[in-house]
Amino acid sequence: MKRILVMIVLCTVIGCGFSGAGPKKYTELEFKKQIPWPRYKISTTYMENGVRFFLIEDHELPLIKVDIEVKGGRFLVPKGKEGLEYILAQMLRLGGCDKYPGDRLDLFLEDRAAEFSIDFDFINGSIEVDTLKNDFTTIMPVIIDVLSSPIFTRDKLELAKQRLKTIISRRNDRQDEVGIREFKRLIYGRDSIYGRIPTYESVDNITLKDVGWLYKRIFVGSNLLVGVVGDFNTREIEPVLKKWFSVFNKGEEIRFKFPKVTSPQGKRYIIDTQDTNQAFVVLGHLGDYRLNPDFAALQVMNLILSGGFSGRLFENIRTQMGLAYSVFGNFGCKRFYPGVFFVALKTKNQSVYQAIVAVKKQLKDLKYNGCTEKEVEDAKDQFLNSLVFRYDSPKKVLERRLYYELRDMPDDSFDKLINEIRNIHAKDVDRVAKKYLNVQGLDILVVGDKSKLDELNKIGKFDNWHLD
Amino acid sequence: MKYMLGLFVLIFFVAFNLNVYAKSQGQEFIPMKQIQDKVHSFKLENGMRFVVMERGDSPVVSFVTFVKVGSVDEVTGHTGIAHILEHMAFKGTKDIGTKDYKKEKSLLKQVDQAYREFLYCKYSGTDKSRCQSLENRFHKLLTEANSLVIPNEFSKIIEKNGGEDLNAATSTDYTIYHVSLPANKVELWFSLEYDRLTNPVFREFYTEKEVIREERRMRVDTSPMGKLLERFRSICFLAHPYSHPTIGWDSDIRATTISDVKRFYKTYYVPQNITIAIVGDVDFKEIKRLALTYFGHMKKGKNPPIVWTIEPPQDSKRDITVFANAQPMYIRGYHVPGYGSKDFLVLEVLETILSGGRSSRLYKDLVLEKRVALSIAAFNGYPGVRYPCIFGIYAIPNKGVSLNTLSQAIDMEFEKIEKKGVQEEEIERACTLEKGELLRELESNLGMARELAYAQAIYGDWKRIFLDIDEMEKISPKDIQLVIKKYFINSNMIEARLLNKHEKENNTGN
Repeated sequence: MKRILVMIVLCTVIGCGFSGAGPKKYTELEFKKQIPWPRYKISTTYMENGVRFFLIEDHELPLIKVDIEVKGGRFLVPKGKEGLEYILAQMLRLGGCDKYPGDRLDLFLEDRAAEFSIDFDFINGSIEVDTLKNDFTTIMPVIIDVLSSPIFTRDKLELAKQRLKTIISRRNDRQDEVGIREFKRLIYGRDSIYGRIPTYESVDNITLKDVGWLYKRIFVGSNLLVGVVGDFNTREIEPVLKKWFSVFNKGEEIRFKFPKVTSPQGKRYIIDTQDTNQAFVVLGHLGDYRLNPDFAALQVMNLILSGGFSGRLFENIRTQMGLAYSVFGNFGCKRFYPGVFFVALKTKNQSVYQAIVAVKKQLKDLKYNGCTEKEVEDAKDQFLNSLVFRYDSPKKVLERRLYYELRDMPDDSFDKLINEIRNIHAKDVDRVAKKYLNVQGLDILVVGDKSKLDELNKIGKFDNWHLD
Repeated sequence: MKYMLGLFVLIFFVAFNLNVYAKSQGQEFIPMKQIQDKVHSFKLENGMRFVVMERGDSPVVSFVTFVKVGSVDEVTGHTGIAHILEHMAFKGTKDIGTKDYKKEKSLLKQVDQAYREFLYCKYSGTDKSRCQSLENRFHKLLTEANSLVIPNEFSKIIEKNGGEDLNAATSTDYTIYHVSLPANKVELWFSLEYDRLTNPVFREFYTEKEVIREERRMRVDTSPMGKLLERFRSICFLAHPYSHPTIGWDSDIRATTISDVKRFYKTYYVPQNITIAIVGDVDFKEIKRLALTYFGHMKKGKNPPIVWTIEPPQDSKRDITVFANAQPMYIRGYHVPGYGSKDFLVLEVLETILSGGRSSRLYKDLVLEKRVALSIAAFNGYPGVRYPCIFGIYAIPNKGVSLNTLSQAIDMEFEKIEKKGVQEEEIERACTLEKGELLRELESNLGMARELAYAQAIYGDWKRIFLDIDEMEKISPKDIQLVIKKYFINSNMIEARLLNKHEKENNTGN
C-alpha cells in the first residue's frame, strides 16, 4: 500500500512538471523574517470641556466607527438601586431624542445600515456607532443629540424594568453563567460594591430621578474619550467633531477609587442544580493589580497554565485525562482593584472530585516544581509571534489606546509589556508561581446536582451558597 | 441574530451565520467590483478547489479548510462521527505527535480491536465478567498507546509560530477548520495541513471521545436551549438525516471506533470534496505554486455518497414539550426548500424583515410594542441548506408572559403579512441591512475566508455572495406574500416548548 502511494506521488510530481519541489515537512521549512506591522498613527486632541479625541484613518472600506468610552459605570450605583446602569443604557437607546424618538431613531439608523449600541460595565460605559462613510455627518449629530439631550419617559422606564426583571428571572438557568457570577461574588463579597447584583426589589426602587442623576454624573465632557476609526480625513473631521462635542459641559471627572477587598480563603460552597449530569467547578482566589511589576511574568505563567491548546490545564485535564471539554483559567490583574485568579471546568458528576484533585495537582506542581525553560520559550514565542495580530487592524490599536487612557496608563504600556515579556525566564515564572498561587487557600464553588456529588465529602464539607 | 440573548448555540449547530447577502439598491456602498477583482479561484486536477483573496495592509493571513461533510451525511448508529473526526484532526500525523509511530500504529490497532470486542460483549449482555476483563484489557492497551503520544504537538507548532484563531467546527452541512498566521508562515500552513489531510493518525481516540461526551453534556444535556433545539430538530424530520444531532447521540459516540472514523475520513475527505479559502497578505501566484507543490499530490478519490432520503411531506402539525430546570422558551418552524430553490432568497429577505434589526416586524411588535418577548429571532436554513430545511422562529417570553400569548402574537404578525403584504421599503431596508452586514464581514480576513469557502462549496460558486444580490433585488412584496401563503401554514408547522418543570402543575397556558 505504502509503495503504491509513493508511486502516485512520484507520478504526480512528474506529471506536474515540477523538479524536486515536493511537499516539505514543517521541520524542513525556513521562514523569511516577519514583516514589521504597520504602525497606525493616532491623532489626539483635547477639548477645553475635557473631551478627548483619538483618531485613526483607515481607508480600506467605506466605513467609519466611533467608540466613545465614558468613565463611570456600575460602581457608581447606590446600594438598593442595583441595575440602574443597565436601565440608563436601555433608556438612552430606547428613548432617543426630541427629533428622533426611539422607534424613529431605529428606522433612521437601519435605513442607513448604521449600528448604535450602549453598554455599561463596572468602571465604564461604551457607546459604539458604526456608519457608512457617506452617512457619518448625517448620523453623528443625531447620536450626539441622544447622548446630550436624551428623553427619559415613564413608559420607557417601565419597558427597561420589565426587560431587566426578565433577565433576572433567567439568570440562574445556566450553570456556567451562575458559576462565574457567583464565584466573583464569593471572592469579592456578595454585598460588596463588586458583588452586588440587581434584584426585583432593587429594580422596583429605581425612579426616573435616579436615571437622570446617573446620566448627569456620567455624561460630562471630562468623562468622554472619543475614538474614531475609518475612512475619513483627520484634518477635515476634527473641527466637525469638536463642534458636535462642544455641547457637553466640562463637569467633574470621575475618579476611580475603590474599597479594599477582603476575600475569604479556603471556603467551599455548592449550588444545587437538580437533575444535571455535569457540574461546573470553579477554584481560585484573589488576583492582583495591573501595575504590579510582576505582571509580565504572570502573563507568561497564564500562558503556561492555560494558553490555548498548549497550556498545562488543557493538556492534562482535557487531552490526557478526558475529564472536560471546557477547562480554562486566568490569573487576573485589574488596574484599580485586585482581579481574580481562577480555574474553571465542566465535568460529569462522577468525575467532579477527580477533576478538583487534578487541578490542585497542576497548581501545586507549578507552584512547587516550577516550569521548564522550554515551556517559557514556547509561551514567549506564542506571545511574540502572534503580536502582529494585536496590531493587524487600526480598530484594535484604537481600542487598546482607549483601554489605557481610561485607566490612566501611559500609551506605551503595551510596548513596555512586550519588552518585559522578552526578558522573562523560567526563574521569574517560578518565583511568581510560588508567590501568587495559594493552593491551600483556594476557594471552591461547585454548581451541580448535589445528590450525585457525595464524593465531594472527601475534600471536606461544602456549604450551600444561595442564589439571589 | 443580534438580539438574541447569546444562549442560542447556533455556533455549533449552524456553525456560523454564513448566509450573508447584500442587496444593492440606491447608493452603491459596497465596492463590489474592487472586492471581486481581488479574488481568484482555481481547481487542482484532483478536484480540490482554492479561493484566494489578496488583501490588506497587515502581514497576516487566514486559512479555511472547508470539507463538505456534516451530520447530514451520517447514518443511524454513527451520529456524531463527522464531529469526532473534526476533533481527531488535531491529534497529529505520522510525524507529529508521536514518540514512535511504528510501535504506536500496531498498538492503536490492538486498542481498537480490544474496544470492539468489549463493545460486542457489552451489547450481547450475557457474560458480565468476560466484559469486565475485556474492558480491563482495553484500558491497559490504551494506557500503553497513550504513553507514546506527544500531546497536542500539532496545535503547539501552530501556536508557537504565532497562530491565532486555531479551531474547527462541525455543522449539519459541513466541517470547517481555520487558523490565522503571520504572512511569513504561509508555507507552514501548507505543510501542516497537507500532512494532516493525508497522514492523520487518530491517536488518543478513546480519551477524546470522553471529551466529546463532556461536550455533549455541556451543549445539550445541561443547556436548556441546546436540549430544546435537539428535540425540535429531531421531530422536524421523520426520515431525513437533518434530524441527527451534530454532536451525536451519546450511545453512538460511545460505540464509534477508530476504524469507523477512518472509513468515514476516507469516504468524505477526498480532494474534490474540499475547498480551501485563503485571505490576507498573500500573492496569488505563490499560493497556486504551493497548492500544486503540496495538495497536487493528493489522490482523487471516489465521489462521496449521495443522501438518498427525501423527507416526506408533513401532513399535520407536530409539537414537542421539554421540561427543564429553566424558564420557558419557544421555537416554531416550517418546512421550506433549501438553497437553489427560487424561494430560498425570498425567505432570506423575509427573515430580515421579520427580525433583522430593531425596526423589524417581530422585534418592533413583540419586543417594543406588545412587550411580550425579551428577544425574538427568525432563522432561515436550519439546520442546513443543502437539502430542504426549516424556517424557524425563536422567542424568549418576558417574565410572566405565557408561551401561548407569545405564539398568538407571532400568528397575528403572519396573518397581517398574509392579508396586507409587506411594504416595498421593508424589502429595501432588509437589503440595506444585509449589505451593511456583508461590508462589515469584509473587515476580517477569517470572516471573509469563511464566506468565500462556504459560498464556493455550498452554493457552487464564491461569486454567489455577490450574484445573489442581483436576484434579491428583484424580490417584490408579492413574492413575500406568496411564500407566506405557501409555507407558513398550520399543517406545515412544528412547535417546541421548553417549560419549567417546577411550574408544570400550575402552568396551564403551556
